[in-house]
Amino acid sequence: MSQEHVKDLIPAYVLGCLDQDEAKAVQLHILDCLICQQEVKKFQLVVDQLPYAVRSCDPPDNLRENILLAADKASRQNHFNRSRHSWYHKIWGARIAIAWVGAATLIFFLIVTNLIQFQQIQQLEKSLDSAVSRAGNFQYVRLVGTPSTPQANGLLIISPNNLTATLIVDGLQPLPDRQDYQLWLIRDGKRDNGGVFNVIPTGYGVLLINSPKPINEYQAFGITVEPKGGSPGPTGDKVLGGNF
Amino acid sequence: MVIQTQNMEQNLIQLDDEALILAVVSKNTAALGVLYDRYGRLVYSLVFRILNDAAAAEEVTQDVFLQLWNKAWMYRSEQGKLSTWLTRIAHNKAIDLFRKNKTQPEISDQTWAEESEDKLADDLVVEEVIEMQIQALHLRKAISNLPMDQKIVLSLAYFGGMSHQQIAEHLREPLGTIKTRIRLAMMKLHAHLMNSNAVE
Repeated sequence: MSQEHVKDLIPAYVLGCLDQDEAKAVQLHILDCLICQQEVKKFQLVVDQLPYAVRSCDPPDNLRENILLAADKASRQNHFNRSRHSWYHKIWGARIAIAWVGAATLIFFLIVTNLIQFQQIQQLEKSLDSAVSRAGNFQYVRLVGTPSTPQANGLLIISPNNLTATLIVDGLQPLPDRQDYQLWLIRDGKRDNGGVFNVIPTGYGVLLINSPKPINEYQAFGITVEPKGGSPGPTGDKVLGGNF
Repeated sequence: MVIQTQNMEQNLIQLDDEALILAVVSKNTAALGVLYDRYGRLVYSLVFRILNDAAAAEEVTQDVFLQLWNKAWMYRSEQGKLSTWLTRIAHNKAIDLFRKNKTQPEISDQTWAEESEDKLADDLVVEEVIEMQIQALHLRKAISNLPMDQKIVLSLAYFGGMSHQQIAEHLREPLGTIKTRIRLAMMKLHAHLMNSNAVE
């Protein structure tokens, strides 16, 4: 399928009504097919306008007020958290200082121990870099979780040809059938689709990427939760991100 | 205080979406109110037609505007209009909730608007809203011209979040027929919009 144009399937793909396998096949094909990418843009314009044709109905009178109150409350909560944090530090500042003195000896001991371990790690990293270099100049980008997914992490390994890469993630929640994780390749604020994937129950997942452009031209990478088959642009929450 | 807020909204109402988004990023609730006046009805109507439940539609609409409040910095005008960003978020949230509830879609003649139906927003000051009204007019005309069987499959896919296969089972029609109807409907809508220059 990836060698043939998928024009017939694109209207349904954009509308989100392809079955899972078909959606993935289209996704794979459009990654490196400019003709079909144009078709996607063409029909996305139609789908984006469908809400305007929906029969209009009056929202409840109090909805506007409820939204503004909820927004105000969210802002106050953030402000309160920041203030409370500051107050807490003032009250406990003196006690923390005393604790610092008490802990100084322990910290000194830990620093010495860590220095020894740090030297050992540096030696190991040098060996690893050397091994990676010998393996053919692969580049890699680390992806880290967001405040909502602190346990998640990922590694993007970019092939020497700069057009293919492998994404490895761990610590992500497996998604229900109706959703996928989607990788975004970001350059000057513009996001290109990098493909969709899900993870196994242990939170581990792998995605092979065929990039439309050399990967080292992108400045950053992000992963969001999207409807099955992916979206033309990010709509869900970000779960992982990293910069080149 | 109330008078000050009203004066601020009177000033903000003249601003375009991009300027209002900057005000929302700086946590100006009056700016959020103006954006709600522009797009609240559009978002609520879409969500209500998907969920057929006023309370759930109210909750999802509130979620959409709170997402705008908390993540306005994520919006990039070069990637599309604000109304498109909001309706995509609203559609995703509503379809997720609809599938979670596992209810059957209720598609009726009331789903799509008549060609000459009411306006989408009360605020007709800025270019964005006037443009939205013109696009609505073109698209409503295009949808009203679709054959009923194509209109139904389009509705089940868009409002019911159903796949080809699910629509075929729901309507007890061959899968190939459903695929053809969807493709034809989308092609006709695109052709109509291009002829009317509603999409560029």
